[in-house]
Amino acid sequence: MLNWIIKFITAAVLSHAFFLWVGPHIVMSKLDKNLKRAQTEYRPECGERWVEGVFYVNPDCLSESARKPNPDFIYTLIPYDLKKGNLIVSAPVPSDDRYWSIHAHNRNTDAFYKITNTEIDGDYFKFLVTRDRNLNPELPVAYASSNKGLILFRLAMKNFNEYSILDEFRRSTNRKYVENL
Amino acid sequence: MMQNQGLLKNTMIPISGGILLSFMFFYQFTHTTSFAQKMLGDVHINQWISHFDQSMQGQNPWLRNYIAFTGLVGSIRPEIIYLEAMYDDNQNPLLGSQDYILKGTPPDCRYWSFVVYDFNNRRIEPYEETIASFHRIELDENGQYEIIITDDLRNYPDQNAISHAGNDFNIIMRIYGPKISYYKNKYSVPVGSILPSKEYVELDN
Repeated sequence: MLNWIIKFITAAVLSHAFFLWVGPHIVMSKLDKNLKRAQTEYRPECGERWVEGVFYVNPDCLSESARKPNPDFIYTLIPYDLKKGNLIVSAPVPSDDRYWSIHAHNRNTDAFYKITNTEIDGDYFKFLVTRDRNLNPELPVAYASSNKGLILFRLAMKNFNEYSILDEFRRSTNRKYVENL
Repeated sequence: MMQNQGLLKNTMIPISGGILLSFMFFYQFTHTTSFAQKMLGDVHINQWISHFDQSMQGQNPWLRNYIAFTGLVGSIRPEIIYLEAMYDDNQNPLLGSQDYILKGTPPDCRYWSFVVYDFNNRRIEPYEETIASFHRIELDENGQYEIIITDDLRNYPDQNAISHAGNDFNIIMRIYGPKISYYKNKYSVPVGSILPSKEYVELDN
C-alpha cells in the first residue's frame, strides 16, 4: 500500500510541476498561432494588421480566444526571437493626458521591462531588447531572459471614435534586428 | 494475465490517478474560479480580489498560469493593479438576470475602468457597452461614481450604465499608474459596492 501511495504522490507532484511549467508556454504558442493566422489571412474589415513584424490589433477583429481585453485600449504587439539578433524597437509617444505604456514579456509571460509616456521626454521612443548584458548602447535597454517573447503596447482611447486617428498615430512603430551595435 | 492485472493495479492506477488529480488541481488556476481567487491575489477587500503587478519575474507559478490563462497580463511594479469580483455585496454570484448598482470612490491614478466579462473571461458583445472608464463616467457631487450594470441600456438613459447583455459575469477594475501609497497599504485601494438594483433602491429608501 505504501508503494502505491508513493507512486500516486510522485506522479501527482511531477505532473503538477510539468503543468505549471508548460501552461504559460501553451498560452504563448496559441498566441503565436493566432498571430500567424492574422499574418496570412487578410480580412479587409480588419485593415493592415501585420506590417513588418508589428501586429496592430484591431479591437473589432480580436480572436475569440482573447481573454479579458480592455475595450478602451488599442493594443500593438511585437513578437520577437532574439536568435535573429538584438532587437531595436521605436514607437511614437502620445501626450501624457492619455495612458500609454510599453511592456516586454518573456516567453513564460513574466514582464522584464516597462515604461510609460510620463517617463519619456519627447514624442518618439527607441529602445533595445537583448540578452547580452555586456552591451553598452546609448539606447535604453530591456534585458530579456528568453530568446522569444513579446512587446506589448497599450494606448488608451478616451472615446471609441478616436480609433482611426490613434490607429494612424501608432503606425510609425518599427522594429528591426541588428547583429552589431 | 495476472501479471498484467498486477501492473495495472500497482502502477498504472496510482500514476494515472496522481496525474488526474494534479490536472484537476491545475485546471482551477486556468479559469476565474472561487478556489483560484481564494488561493491567489494580494489582498481581499470585501468581494474584490486584488492583484498588484502580477507579472513580476520569479512570481509564484500558480499565479503565473492564472494570469496567462485568464488574460490579465501584468507589469513591473508599480504600474498596474487589477481587482476582480465574481460576487455582489451579499456574496451571491453576479447574474445576467439582474441589474446591479456599482458604487464607490474612484482611485487616485492615471487611468481606471470597470469592464464586465462572461464567466469564461471572454468579452461580451457589443464590447463598447461593457466598459465604464474614467474618461467617460460622470461623478456625482461627492466625487463618487454610480454605474448601473444591466442587460438593457435603454432602461437607463442619461445614466452611467454598462451592459452584461444577459450573461452571468465577473467585473475587472483596472488601475493604471496608481499612487504609490496603495502599495504601502494595499487595503487602502478604494473598492466599489455591488448591489442588485432592487435591493439598492430599498436601502436608498
